[in-house]
Formats: sequence, C-alpha cells, structure tokens
Amino acid sequence: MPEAADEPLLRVEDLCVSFRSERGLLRAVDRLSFTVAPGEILAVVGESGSGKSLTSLAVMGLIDDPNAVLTGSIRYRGRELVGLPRRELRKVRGDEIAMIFQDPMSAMTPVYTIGWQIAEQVQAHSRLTRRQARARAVDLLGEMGMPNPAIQVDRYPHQLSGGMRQRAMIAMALSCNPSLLIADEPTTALDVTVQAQILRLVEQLRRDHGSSIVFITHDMGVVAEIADRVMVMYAGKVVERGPKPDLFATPGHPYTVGLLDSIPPMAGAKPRRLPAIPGAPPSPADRPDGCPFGPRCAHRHDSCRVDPPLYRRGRQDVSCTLVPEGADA
Amino acid sequence: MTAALLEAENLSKHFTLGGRFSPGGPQVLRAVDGVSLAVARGETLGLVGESGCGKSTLGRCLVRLYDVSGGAVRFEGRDITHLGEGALRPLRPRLQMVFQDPSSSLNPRRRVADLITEPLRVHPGPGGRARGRGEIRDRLHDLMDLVGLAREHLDRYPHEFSGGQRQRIGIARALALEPSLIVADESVSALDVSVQAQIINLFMDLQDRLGITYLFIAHDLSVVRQISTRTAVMYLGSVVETGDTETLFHRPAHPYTEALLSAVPVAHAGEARRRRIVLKGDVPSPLNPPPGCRFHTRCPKAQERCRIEPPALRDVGDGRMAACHFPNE
Repeated sequence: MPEAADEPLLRVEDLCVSFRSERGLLRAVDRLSFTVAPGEILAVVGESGSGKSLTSLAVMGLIDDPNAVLTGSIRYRGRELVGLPRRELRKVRGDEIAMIFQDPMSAMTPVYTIGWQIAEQVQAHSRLTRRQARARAVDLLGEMGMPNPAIQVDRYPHQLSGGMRQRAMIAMALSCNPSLLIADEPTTALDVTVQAQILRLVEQLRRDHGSSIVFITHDMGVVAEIADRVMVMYAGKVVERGPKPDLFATPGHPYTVGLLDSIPPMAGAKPRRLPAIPGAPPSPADRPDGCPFGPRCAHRHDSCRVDPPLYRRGRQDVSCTLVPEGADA
Repeated sequence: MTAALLEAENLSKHFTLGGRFSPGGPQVLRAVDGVSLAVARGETLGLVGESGCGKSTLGRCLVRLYDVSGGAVRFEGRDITHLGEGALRPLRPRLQMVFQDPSSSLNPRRRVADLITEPLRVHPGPGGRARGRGEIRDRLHDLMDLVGLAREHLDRYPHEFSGGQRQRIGIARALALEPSLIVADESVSALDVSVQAQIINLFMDLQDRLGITYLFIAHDLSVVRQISTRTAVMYLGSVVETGDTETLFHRPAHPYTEALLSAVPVAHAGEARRRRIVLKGDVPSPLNPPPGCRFHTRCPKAQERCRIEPPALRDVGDGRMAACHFPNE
C-alpha cells in the first residue's frame, strides 16, 4: 500500500466472513481490505446487508456464531488478532479497542447503575480500588458532558434519556483510553439535536486522546460532518474509498453517486423527482454474479459480468469498470 | 381557513400514567397540548419534531385512532371529535393512515392480494352494495400498477418482499378506498436511503395523479422539505411554528426551528452549511413541562418573560406563525 509510510494502527486484509447454511456457504463480507491510521476518523457507509456491522464485530472478535467462518487477517499495531486466544483477545478489547453500539440498552445491564458498570470495566483493566474506579466513572461522565455526574452515576440505564445513555456507553468505552474506537451507528437512534452533541463529543475524543475512530453509518450527512476518509460498502464489498473531500466532490462509483443523489437537498432547488436507485440491496443469499451493483446500475454493460477490482483514480479507489477510461492515470 | 380538509382546534391528548397505588399517585402526561392546525385540500403538510414531541399522537388523534382529551377535530367540515366507532366507519375510507413499519402492520399469514383487497371487502361499494369479485380483482390490478408492484407477485406473502416493496403494499392498502386524506406516520424512516427516495417519489406521484392530501409526519427534515408544501414544527406537545416549507426552511422564525435545522448534517457538496446551534441538554419530560415557554430551558435567546408567560402561536409575517416572544425577523 502506498500510504503505508508510517504503520497503520489497524490493517485488515482479505477479510471474509461467511455463514454455513442449508444453501451452502453464504459470504456476507467478501475479501475486504482497509487500514486505519493513528488519529484518523474512517467512516464506513453502507445500507442494510452491506456487511458494515459484521466487519466491526469481526475486528472486535465478537462473532461467536458457530456457523460463522472467518478468514483473512486483522492486524492491530502489527499484531495478528485472527486466531488469538480468548484471554489475549480480551486484553486487547477494552484496553486497546473499544466499541459503542446503536442501542446502549443492549450494551448495558438493566439491573446495575451506570456508575457500577463503568467502574467494573475500569477495575477489570486496571489496578484501581473500587472507590477510585467510581471516582473515575464520575469524571468520565462529566467529560462526556453529563450534567451532575455525581448524581447521575447512581442511576440505572432506564432512568436516562437516549442521548444520556449514549454518553454513558461512550464513557464506558473510553474508560481505558482505547487507541481505537469502533462506533456502530451510534447516533442513528438519536434526534438530530442530540446527534449534533454526540458528533461533537466524538471529535473532541480524537482531539484530546488522539484516538482513531471507525464510524459506521448509513447517513451520508454524518459522514460529511465527521470523516477524514470514507469507505463505501455494498453487498459485502468495498465499492469505493478515498479522502472525504474527493469522494464527495467527485464520487466515482455509480452506487456512491446514487446514494448521494437519493438524499433530498436541505437548500437550493428541489428536484421534481428524487433520482432514486431502482430495486433494493441484495441479501447475502442471492447476490448477483459479477459486479454486485450490476442489476441496479444504469451504466451496466458487458464487462460488468466480471466483478471489477478496485481501480485507482486520483486519491480514490473505485471498483467499477467505467473508471479506467476516465481515470487520471 | 374554510378550505381546510382536516382541522384541529385546541386539540389535547393526555395519558394517565400509574394508578392510585403508584408512588406519588397517577401522573398526567400531556402528549398533545392545545394544538390548532389545518390541512388544506390538495396540500402536503409536513409535521416535524423530535421523538416524544407528540407528533405521532397528534396524527392518531386526527384520524381518531385515539380518543381526544380536549378540543375538536373536523374532517371535511364535519365535527368528528366525539363520533363513535359506528358513526366513524363511513368516514374511514376517506381518511387513511400509512405506518412506519410495514412488517408489523401487515398480517404475515395473508397473501398480498388479500391484504390489498381487504378494505374493499370490509367496506361496501358506492350505493351501499357489496363489491363483486370481478370488481375487486380489477381494482387490485389497478392498485398494484399504481404503486409499482408486479402482478405476478399477487400470491406472495409479506416476508417475501423487501422493506420498500412492503411499504408499497401498505400504501396500496391505504389507497384501495380512494381516500381524500392520508396520514403518513414516519412512512419512509425505516427504509434504506436509496429505497426511501423511491417511496418519496411514489407519494408525490400519487398526489399528482389522484389529488390526495397528506399529513406527512417525519423526523427527517430533508424528507419533509422534499415532500411538503407547508410545514409545522412541534416541541413538547405544542406546535411552535408553521409556514410555507421554503420560507420556514430558509428563514425560520422560532429559535427551536432554527436550532433543529442547523443540526441536520449536510451531505451535498454544494450546500452551504448553516451555523450550527448546539442546544444544551435534553427535551424536558412531558410529565413535568417547564412553565412559560416550553423551550425556554434550552433556548439561546430566553429571557425573563419566557420563563413566566407561555407564548401563543401568532402571525410573524410571510405566512409564518410562531409561538415565540422574540421571533427571528
């Protein structure tokens, strides 16, 4: 890779996640490769079934379905995570890599206070006493912009609003100062005014701790807001990736173009009809041969019967046979 | 407004939570509190607001799925506030609703053909006679063409369709009896972006062809801008601003509308970003709304008067109505 002048924090190569089913092996994530540099915010965009969440679970070593088959390589600071024993992996998780989810309720237990849960996490990864761990929980909640952290620390998850719960979960994820935070649709369930607060928090995290963030979302608006680099996924594959300004200014893949055009504009002239992409994303069980986007693509031609590799165009990589003709070498 | 098809006057809906034996006794949740609103024939009124603001409750009160606690609802000039189930039944064909999640509003054990024709079999045709088999079949084919469903799918079950296709079934069902008004409650929010654009286009095409009036409830502001001619903004059970969609998005009069619009992340490269106003804190609980203006606890412009005197919805020029003591010019 040309950008590997300094070693990336995370390097994923040829990652495949498949599931054994009665119809044979279904490949949900298909030969996925990407890197995350230190201090970088990488946005992973895709619709339902694109494999974006599965990728993040694979990195965390959290796929425990007995029918799942995982191949490829996931290197964190040069260390291979695939095949690492559970205990070793557990040290990396939490200490080094942390994750936040769309629904904080699913990541917390309803029967303990948020303070107890954060303190438990702190104690599991450090030598602090219970009292110190609790004090750390109060500090963290305060840092997350929670009003009256000393009181909120003794509340149960159900007593908090969605935004406050999301803050508590971020506090828990950050309790061990992870170098890499994976955020899976952390603002999707939130209202826009609260989403704005959480996005600001994520940026602050990168600024203050220098953490890298993999931000998974389906919302191109959020991507435009927060990302340094963008990776667009479709049907388990990367169809396009590149620095944010390039990708938004000159999207190369017809799917990226379609995705951007489908969003109604917030200012300027309203289109009579929105330029929608026909059809729906394919499920892993019936993905088309050749280019996965082929059946929905307006530019489809004969060479699309073969799945295109990623072509380089400027600073972007685009998996479309249309690109080589127009590529700037 | 005399041309109003659907009108709410000082409408309230209160829910009682807890009973005599719960600590502190029963509490009253004012989900909708004194809302006056009119939907003119042929227009699309967008109703926006954050979760818990009462927009869905208002929608359900307007089609009388809920009984109303106070105020009046008028449909086609007739007071329907206190009509019983039997008296409402002849009105139902003209007043329909499309829900957010088509998979929970469609019976999984019925075929598409049965689902779409059910309203035709339940309600008598013109002149009070039951519809014949041939008549129903013809209408079914018309409806499927209208919403873009292939006729060979007649005998499939809902689970065999994608989310977008299922929403088309829900829309066909609502259209079966030729309604004059459809209340669409978050009807596109559960869909992938590329599919969402198709359904927005469908709603707009249907309006062009059949002259249907919509009350379009959504939290996504860019969707509301695309589809609606006028927009109403709700906060904590009240309407805080109404106006022509373009005017309201371009020059919001209420500070809440302004903050809400500024919080929307912008995906399109050419669009100028608004100056972001990050609101402090959360929406207060509707169990215990603040006195005076309900927005004063989060409002950047709040003054002494706002804490005491609740502002009434009043004309602030350019066809805008705002409930604010100090509206923007």
